[in-house]
Amino acid sequence: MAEISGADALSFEIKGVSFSSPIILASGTAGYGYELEGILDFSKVGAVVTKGISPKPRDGNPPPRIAEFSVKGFQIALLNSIGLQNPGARAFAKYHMPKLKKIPTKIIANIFGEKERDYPHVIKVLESCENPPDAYELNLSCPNTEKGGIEFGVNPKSVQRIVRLCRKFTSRPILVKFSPFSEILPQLVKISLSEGADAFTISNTLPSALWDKKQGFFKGGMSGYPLKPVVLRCVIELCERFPDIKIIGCGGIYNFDDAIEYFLAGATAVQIGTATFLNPRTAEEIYDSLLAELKKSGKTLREIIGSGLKIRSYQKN
Amino acid sequence: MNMFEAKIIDKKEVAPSTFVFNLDCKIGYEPGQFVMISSPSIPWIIPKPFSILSYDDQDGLSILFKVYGLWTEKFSALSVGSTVNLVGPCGSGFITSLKRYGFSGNFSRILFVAGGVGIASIFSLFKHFDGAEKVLVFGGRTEKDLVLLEKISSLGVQVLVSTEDGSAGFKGRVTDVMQKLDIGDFDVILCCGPVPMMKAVSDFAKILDKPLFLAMEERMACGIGICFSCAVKTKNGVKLCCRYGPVFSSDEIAW
Ligand SMILES: Cc1cc2nc3c(=O)[nH]c(=O)nc-3n(C[C@H](O)[C@H](O)[C@H](O)COP(=O)(O)OP(=O)(O)OC[C@H]3O[C@@H](n4cnc5c(N)ncnc54)[C@H](O)[C@@H]3O)c2cc1C
Ligand SMILES: Cc1cc2nc3c(=O)[nH]c(=O)nc-3n(C[C@H](O)[C@H](O)[C@H](O)COP(=O)(O)O)c2cc1C
Ligand code: FES
Repeated sequence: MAEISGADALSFEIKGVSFSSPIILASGTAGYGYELEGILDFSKVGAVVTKGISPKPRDGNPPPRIAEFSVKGFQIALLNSIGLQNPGARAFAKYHMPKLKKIPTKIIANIFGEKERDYPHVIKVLESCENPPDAYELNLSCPNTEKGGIEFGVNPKSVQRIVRLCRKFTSRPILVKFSPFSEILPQLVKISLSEGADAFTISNTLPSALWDKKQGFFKGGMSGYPLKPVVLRCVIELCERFPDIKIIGCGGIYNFDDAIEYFLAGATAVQIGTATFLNPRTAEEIYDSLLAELKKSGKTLREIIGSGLKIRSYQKN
Repeated sequence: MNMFEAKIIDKKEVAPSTFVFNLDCKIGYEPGQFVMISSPSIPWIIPKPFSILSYDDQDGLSILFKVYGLWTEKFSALSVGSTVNLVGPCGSGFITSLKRYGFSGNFSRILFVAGGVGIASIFSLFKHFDGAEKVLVFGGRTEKDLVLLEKISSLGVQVLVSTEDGSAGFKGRVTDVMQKLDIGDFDVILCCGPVPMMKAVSDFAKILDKPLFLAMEERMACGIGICFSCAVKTKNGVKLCCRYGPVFSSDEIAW
């Protein structure tokens, strides 16, 4: 077999769909993608995951929607409470999809809902539009309004029903995105796999709160540096249990070194979130470093993926 | 919009805790637009928005800012020669916004209203509207908030000052000064300052049925429309302050 080299060495597949780069832009941190045109070289980005889409339009939360978490003069994390503002599936399909399709990368539509049936509903709408996305990512870190606001993604039955329903409406890859709750993830992943999920995005933000003297508590999802060790742990647990599944690592990735840790833990690809805010070219720079490193070491990314798991942990639990 | 590095080529403390930095770069912009700034020496995970005070080939890009919290404190301590990262110009400035609402921009009398460092986003309008008659109502808590007064006057602007403590000009708020003016004579009001001040100016303009354009502020994490943190509620739905704004017609805002 010919040796896989150069940029080709970085491509990967999910359910027959080929992604040219393992560096992806995370949902909610890259708008609808085209906002970054002219700044970012999309040929180095495997896919853009869109801002979350729901059946009906949503205004999102009133401001303030973000709060900054600093420790001893270092800002290490961001809390957001955007409230999933989006124009709704139909408007997204009509106004955003045609523009998105012009970007030279794959498009993954991120979907969320208030009810279980909202997820397949959005897929149905997008599948019937002129320019359907290349894949779907189900954001299950949302409250189920019919079940007292408990997150879909912590209820195995909900996860099962949502993935099953979604699978019926599309033959494209389905990625399931969870919160970083490592204890329950293996069970949820197993169920999702049995219902036809193709890959997993680990993870969403971590539910958190910050105190502000003037404004009181700000509740939101935390992203940024503190997320990395938490999510890495989740990725490790999953890759050890299910060596053949495709995990996309997401949380606190700022540079090549952060990304490599996820690959060592077994991730097939990574998503860049909050880091794009500070440096919109983060994804591109990580891609360049990765390519350079592979050339230097003579290794392929496939050799690196999961290789960290073979090194004995100095503490197992 | 672009991304680039720039060196701090000049730094002045124009009032206590208030600075003008000149950054060595080339940028085209319209008044009211802003840049997102970050610095390798400030350990922060989001960039910060600052209005473009002015730009010319010699002095580069200037920004005017006040130390409010941690980031601005660290930023103010950077020395001349330090490098910063910029993304910009961001947003829709005054000219784009005026056009959006059908104003050609051919005004003969313009009323400007600014509060504190809000002057930064309207400062370059004075040159832009070179031929028009210009009056600025400039308010602050104290005299120290009223910066760049000489420069503004030298641009042929009539300046009326108000301070809440009475340390300079009229003791009171900008709207108190506005009440003394014959607002009917002005074609348009262009304003930037703290949100409560802009709301008061908006109420005032509404009563007198004068077109008012405001440079709004909202917490921002990206400045380029990718994070959805800068929502402004308008009568036409929620808009992003960093792309559709920061300049809005006051009529459109759902106060
Ligand atoms: C479009 C725009 C233009 C601006 N132009 C100027 C300017 O020309 N001069 C100037 O002095 N200031 C300007 N600001 C405000 C400036 O960005 C904030 O003062 C700065 O971010 C404060 O950071 P801090 O960490 O020092 O203070 P903090 O302690 O974080 O906050 C102090 C104040 O700044 C506001 N603020 C905090 N974080 C942000 C953020 N991420 N985005 C926006 N506002 C924030 C807060 O609501 C608070 O009122 C502008 C803001 C916007 C949105
Ligand atoms: C402002 C903001 C908005 C987000 N919106 C979404 C969203 O709509 N759907 C989703 O699945 N994740 C959303 N996320 C989560 C990110 O996609 C990502 O999982 C998380 O930020 C962790 O990665 P990071 O530490 O690299 O930012 C959002 C994150 C941020 C910071
Ligand atoms: S600041 Fe990110 S969308 Fe406006």
